[in-house]
Amino acid sequence: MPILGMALVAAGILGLFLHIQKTTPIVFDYVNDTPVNAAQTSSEEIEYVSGKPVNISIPSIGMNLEVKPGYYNAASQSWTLSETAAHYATITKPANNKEGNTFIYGHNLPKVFEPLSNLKAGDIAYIGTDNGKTFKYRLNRVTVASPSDTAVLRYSGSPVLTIQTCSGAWYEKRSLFWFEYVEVT
Amino acid sequence: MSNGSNETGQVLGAATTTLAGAAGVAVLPNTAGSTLLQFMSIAAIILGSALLITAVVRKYAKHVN
Repeated sequence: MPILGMALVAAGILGLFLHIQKTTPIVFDYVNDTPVNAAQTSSEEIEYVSGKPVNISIPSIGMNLEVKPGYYNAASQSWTLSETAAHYATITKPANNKEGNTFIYGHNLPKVFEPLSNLKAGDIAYIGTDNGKTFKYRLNRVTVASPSDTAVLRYSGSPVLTIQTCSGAWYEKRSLFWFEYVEVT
Repeated sequence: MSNGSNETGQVLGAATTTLAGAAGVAVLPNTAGSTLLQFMSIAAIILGSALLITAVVRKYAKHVN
């Protein structure tokens, strides 16, 4: 009986360790030397291109997901969520080549955003939009925020894509994957 | 965990979001994943600890007798 007890305790500790490791992305801030075709080239007049996200694809982790509109309900302080798709926060900017944050979120589930913890600096994400455009982004930063830190939703500046999923032993944190805009086709 | 297929909730959500805007958002989405592994791990730790304690108590009881 003592051996079984010790084995169970050890298995439990190992399980918790593996879970925390799986749900905790490596936080980094990567500075890319390659200039992007974003709003930094402000001297040139760039035609504004935008579209509402309907699909997200990240080839490096084999991800290809449908993106549905996501709404915030102020009364219940909750968001539209599903267990099979990602959501585009409609209060943020649509995918575009000029400015602002396109915020996409989804559950930390195997079929949704659990694979995000395997992302590395420089990985590419593609956003397909409702008007047939494809926006290309490059991962350059991963941060962790508290649920009440909504600053990411008020971001202004060069165009970025931010993907959010929950992390931490009890999913008490919000991992934010920041992608810089590269190009639109 | 909210369900995205609830269209009434989405329409209500759209209306409230329009009123509030990004500045009125109090929390980021709760995008938690499965908690099965945590609960199984904690159950294993509790059960294992109980077995260990039982074994120690039995051994001590024998020693006393």
